[in-house]
Amino acid sequence: MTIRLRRSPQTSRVLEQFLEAPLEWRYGYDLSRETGLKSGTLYPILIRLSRRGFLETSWKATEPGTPPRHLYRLTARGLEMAKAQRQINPARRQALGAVPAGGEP
Amino acid sequence: MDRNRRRWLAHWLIHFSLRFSPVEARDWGRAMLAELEFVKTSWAALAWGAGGATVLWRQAFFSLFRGSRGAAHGPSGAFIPAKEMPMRKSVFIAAAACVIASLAFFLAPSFNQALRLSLQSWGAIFRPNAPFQSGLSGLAARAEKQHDANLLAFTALRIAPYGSFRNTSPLRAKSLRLADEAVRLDPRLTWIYADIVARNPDAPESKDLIKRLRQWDPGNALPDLLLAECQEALLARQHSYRLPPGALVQDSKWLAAMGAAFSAKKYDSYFNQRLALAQDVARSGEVSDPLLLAWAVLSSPIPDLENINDYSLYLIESGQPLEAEGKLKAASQQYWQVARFGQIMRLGAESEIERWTALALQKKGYEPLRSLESRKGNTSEASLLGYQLQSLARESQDFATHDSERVNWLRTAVWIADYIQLSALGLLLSALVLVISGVYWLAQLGRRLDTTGRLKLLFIWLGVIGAAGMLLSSVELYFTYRPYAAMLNQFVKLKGAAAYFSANAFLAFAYPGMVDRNALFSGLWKVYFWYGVISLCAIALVAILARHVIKPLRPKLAG
Repeated sequence: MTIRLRRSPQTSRVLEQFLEAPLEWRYGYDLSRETGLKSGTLYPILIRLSRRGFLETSWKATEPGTPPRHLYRLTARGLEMAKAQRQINPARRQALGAVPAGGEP
Repeated sequence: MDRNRRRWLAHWLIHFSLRFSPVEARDWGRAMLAELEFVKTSWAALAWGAGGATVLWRQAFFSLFRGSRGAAHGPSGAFIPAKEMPMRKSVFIAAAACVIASLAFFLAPSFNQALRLSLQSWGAIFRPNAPFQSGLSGLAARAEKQHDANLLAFTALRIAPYGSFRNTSPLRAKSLRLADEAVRLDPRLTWIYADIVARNPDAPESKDLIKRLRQWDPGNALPDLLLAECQEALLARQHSYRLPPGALVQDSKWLAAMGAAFSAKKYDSYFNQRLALAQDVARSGEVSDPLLLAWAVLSSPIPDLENINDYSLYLIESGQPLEAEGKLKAASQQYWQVARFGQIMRLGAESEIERWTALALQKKGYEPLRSLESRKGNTSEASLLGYQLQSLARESQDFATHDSERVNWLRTAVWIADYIQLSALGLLLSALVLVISGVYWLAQLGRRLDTTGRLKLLFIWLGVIGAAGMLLSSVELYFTYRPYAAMLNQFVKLKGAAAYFSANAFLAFAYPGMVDRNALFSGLWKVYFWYGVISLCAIALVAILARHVIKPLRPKLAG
């Protein structure tokens, strides 16, 4: 089945970030810093990826008195799709790789 | 704002937005809330909170159209890869109700009339004569068959387009035939020959028609004024339609005709007869097109006022040398001719421009007469003429005030007319959008299209916008047209100038070319300011739509 996803530079940037460590669970704030995307841009992308089955999510309890944190990781399908996208446009990936990571959202 | 307050505000923004977010978005809201604790600076926390609130509000807004995905997440909080959910039932019902309510307006005759006239007036921009010619051939055939004198006269005056009468001889012949038949059936309609001559004074039959008119209405100045127009047309043709200055006053036939007109006992340009004819035809139900009826009154010709002005100047100027030679009685006669014709014209004039001309003629005659009487030592006569001039000045002032009120009223009529026409356009565009959406959904039902969820969402949007737009435009069109429907009603019922004014205001709406907008709105910066505001709002609306509707149509990634 063909599943379509909006092709935006921001989505590609998020996927690239997941591909850096595909098996690791990631926090939203960390993703935001690493991609340079603000919460208003990042979360709609995460929601969309999740709805299409490219992203799995889980909750992780933290210290008592603080709310549990949401974690994200690409599913097998998501990983496949992200890799395929990387192959489709390597020049684009190269350009995206130049985006400075760790910026404050 | 201190650091704690900024963090508090960021927290509050997401927390507050969570209350309104759909079930499926709440976990995401909680996720953003939890991350807030780890954002390093307070300003960044505030930006995070604002962004999170935006995400939640967007989700809430789109869920209105998409339907809730409440069951679409598992215990882990992970969303199940979802199929696009159907449009929420309540939205579909609301859209259908809008369409039904909009269609119900078509049951009101005035709504149908408003829509038809609006479309005609849009068409009139490209084909100026078209609205006034439709259906006339059929009407003429029916009039001949039924031997209906009024209908024959009405069609005789309308069958040939105004302004191209001269070049359409088959229509001219038909017009004459219909007019003759109308007059044969009802000789009281002989006045229609005046209109036919005025439309085409250099036609070969004009002089014969004037003769018949004079026999039917002896003592009226109009046949002689028309005869002068015929002579003017003849001279113009002889000079290749470039009459040299002063050519008319050197022509004995033109002078004779104008002299006879200025000596006539009365002035009647048959304004009331023309109005009564249109009203009779409207009441008989034979003609229901309001545009045709209103235009029948307003497009009717009046005598050439330039000729009247030229001849009055000729009389005044020819009196001055007589006065200088001491032939005071002869000079006085010249001036009196002008004043006298002004008086009889004022008594018989019905249209505003004719009344204004009559006032000007009286003033033009009385002024030299007053100086002449003073010169003769007739102080009492000079004083009387002075009073007359004062009275005329006051009347002119009243006339100007009334004219200013009329212009203001006309401006309002034109403003509302613009709104009506935009409403009609909005109705058509909304219906078009709805049809496009409907075609898409029909194709979906037939499974001819395999499209993405976003495209489906777009067509849901289009359907909702189309339905809401139809209802809004219909309500606007119905209620804003009501004053014009009343005007049309008044035009059929009232008499004289009041009916004429109603027809005029009605046509301001129905026929945009009727009103010179530049002249009407010149110097009114407020009008242009509000046009600017409305235009900017429209651009902003388009920009918002582009952001929310067109942006999602960007190329998709293939997974």
